[in-house]
Amino acid sequence: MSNATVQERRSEVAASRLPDVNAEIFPYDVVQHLLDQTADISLFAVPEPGYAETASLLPSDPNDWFGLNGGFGITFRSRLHRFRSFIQPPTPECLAVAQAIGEVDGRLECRCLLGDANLQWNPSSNPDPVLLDPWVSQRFSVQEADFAFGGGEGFRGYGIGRTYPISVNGEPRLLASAVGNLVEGRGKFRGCEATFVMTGTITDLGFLGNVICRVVDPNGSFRRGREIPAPSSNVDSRDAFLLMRGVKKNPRVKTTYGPPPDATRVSLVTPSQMRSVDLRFAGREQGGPHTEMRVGPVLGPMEATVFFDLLAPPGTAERPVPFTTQELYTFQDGDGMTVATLTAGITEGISFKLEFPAAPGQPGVRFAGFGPITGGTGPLAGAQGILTVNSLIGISPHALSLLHVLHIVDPGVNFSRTLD
Amino acid sequence: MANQSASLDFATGAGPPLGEAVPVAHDPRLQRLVDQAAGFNLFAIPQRESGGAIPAPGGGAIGLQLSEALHRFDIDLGLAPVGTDVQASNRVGERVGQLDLRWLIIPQDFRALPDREPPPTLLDRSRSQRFTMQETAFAFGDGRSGFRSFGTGRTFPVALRGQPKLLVAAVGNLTKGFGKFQSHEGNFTLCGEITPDHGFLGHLIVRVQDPQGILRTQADLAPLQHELDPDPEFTYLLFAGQKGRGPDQVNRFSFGPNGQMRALNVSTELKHLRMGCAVSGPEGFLARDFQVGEVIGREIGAGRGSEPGADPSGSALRPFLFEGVARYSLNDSRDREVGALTTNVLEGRRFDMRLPEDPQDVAWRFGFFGPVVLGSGCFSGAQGMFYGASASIFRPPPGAHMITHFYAARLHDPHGRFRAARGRL
Repeated sequence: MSNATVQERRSEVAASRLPDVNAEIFPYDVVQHLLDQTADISLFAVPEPGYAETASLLPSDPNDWFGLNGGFGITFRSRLHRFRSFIQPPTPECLAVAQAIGEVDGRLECRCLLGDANLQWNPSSNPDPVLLDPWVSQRFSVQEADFAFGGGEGFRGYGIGRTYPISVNGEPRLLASAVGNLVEGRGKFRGCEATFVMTGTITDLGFLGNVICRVVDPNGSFRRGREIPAPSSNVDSRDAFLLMRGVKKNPRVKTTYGPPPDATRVSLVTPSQMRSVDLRFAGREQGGPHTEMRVGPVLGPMEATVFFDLLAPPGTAERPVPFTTQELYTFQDGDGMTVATLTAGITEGISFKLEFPAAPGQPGVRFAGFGPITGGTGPLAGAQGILTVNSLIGISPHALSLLHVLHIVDPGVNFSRTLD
Repeated sequence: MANQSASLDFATGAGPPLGEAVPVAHDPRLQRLVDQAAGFNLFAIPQRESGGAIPAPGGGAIGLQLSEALHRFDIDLGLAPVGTDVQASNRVGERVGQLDLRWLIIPQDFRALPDREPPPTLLDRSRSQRFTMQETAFAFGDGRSGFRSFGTGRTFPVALRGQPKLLVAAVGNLTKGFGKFQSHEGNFTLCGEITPDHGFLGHLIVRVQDPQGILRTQADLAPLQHELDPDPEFTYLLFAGQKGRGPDQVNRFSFGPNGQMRALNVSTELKHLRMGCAVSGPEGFLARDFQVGEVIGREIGAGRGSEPGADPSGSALRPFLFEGVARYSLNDSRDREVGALTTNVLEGRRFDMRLPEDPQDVAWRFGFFGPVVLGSGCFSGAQGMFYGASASIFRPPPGAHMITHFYAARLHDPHGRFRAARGRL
């Protein structure tokens, strides 16, 4: 952006009256209810054995060896297992999560093309190719993601991601995270809007980790009010995945503007309350995939500062609006005493315009992203990992429906992870 | 490694598209000129009393400086017998020389030059770092023959069976020869690890152009003596790569969706390779003429210049940089694939040279290294590095591409799965 343009935008921001995001076009409770009309799918991806050896980055032209898997990108296929991750109520002695990885309920295929530091969201073209270097953090496009469940159900998506080489007790690991948008749905997903995030480990050119899909579901197609049994565990997740739902503690909690980070963006300071959440999914049952959400006990407050361009046109599938965040999570015991804190920030965030058929004119945003964990205290001191968010919010009123996952690389020392 | 030709990816638009079958152009005379070279397989073992870390003022190390013993190293990899894994014999023999080195860690964006001392940079065993081989001097036999060199490399922290190790690989260029090496040009590639007491333990492939045959003999060398096993957790593979004559051997450009050339697809036949050297009698240090034998596998790969638009020439001070991905499959005696390694060459360095009998052609010599990113078949789950030293004359497709690669891989092999008990020859 040229200096003149920056100056122009600065003037626009200064001249504009920052909107009152707390005002109520529709009542807060109504907007909160509408935001929560989503099908929330949490799955665990486990690499399909042997797939990496046969996969190509150029499936239509396997004799072009530029497409050798693992060179200028990674094509992976993972089995999607049912996944339950439930944070136990914090105690002064312990912060623990019960995890269970159950039966296979779907399949994820992704073709990821590595790009340079300037890689941008662009579903219609490939990035300038970059060679995989497992010792360097690299950006990539999820050029094609295909989620398949039983009975022809599923969807195709596009996204962007990044690798994160880390060292765990001297052992190198390559983490990877991505965020994406549903491009074309099949079966019940046809015509849906959805956002997905994933965070995990690249192992032998496969992806092992958590995948969260959030499908806007105003008609309740995916939610039947029927109980879905919890998965029985048969796979070790290797790491801890702390799944949390965040809303404002009550409608009186106000969002405020913070100091702008630069000439073109504003910051919104958003307090919320985080709870354990149990997301259940059945992908292969009669009537197609369905979901169930059970909200658990309060874990503590979370304060997020969100940075974005207030004057940008609403995000679309072709051109979402980027954002970044800084988050502080505080885990408290039943007496309100702090057990642990954790800081993280979204560095790759995308947002899309969200409309509510039941509340015409009510603005909203569907957004998702990922970024590194940057610090922790108590049992989370020294924690390494990734934060993913997959959320919906209203604008005026600023109601929240947050779904966060803290992927904590778990060397089994500071953090208690138990099988469910 | 589909490599050095990458400069032409950006310099020319010539060549047949993928799928167009054209005869492979061969020129035996050019192949002979390319192969007028001495190849040395050496194994470096730190001499504990000679030094180690270069200390940083505030603690830690900024590099290493020490003398090492250079030993004969014999690697023999042939066709795998039916029903067995790929296996190579690795035999480290008697000492044949000395390596004096001063290596310094450098910042990621530092432009290394022989006369440019880098800023002090701490060695960090938890992350991959670049380093400069500010001084690496080889002396062979009685010390009257050898060469000085300059080069750069990278460290690669890994954990093998839960044990952290700092792997290292580098490419160096001969800058000044003495004794029998005087007026020669050549390069070397090394791969091994930085030991906890700051020495280098590992393999060096040295390739020196030798049109006069001063450095080599056709006679058999004295048997290898005083066998050691200084690196028992690793097995080294060694093989040659040369152009075959089948239609699958044709080089082809790869074009992106926008129609721009993005890489050169290159295949070679992988062949049995024997290299040896020894200090023997009045002739001193000599290499046995390297011998390229039967086909044992196939390489397919795509390479390109690392810096689009870079000057396609490569010099001692500014080598041409290349990178790429390749898959090396090795066969059994029934010509069935036993295992394959997919490797990413993260750093390749190419130097132009003129061959005395063909001065109008620019020939290339080059070195390269990078990690194994995927193993299949018997190599499933393999961890290691791939590296090599090579020379070629390249004319854009469908022109001749005469090439001989000295390819090597260092695989973590704690149980000796890929290690044959003895040499085959």
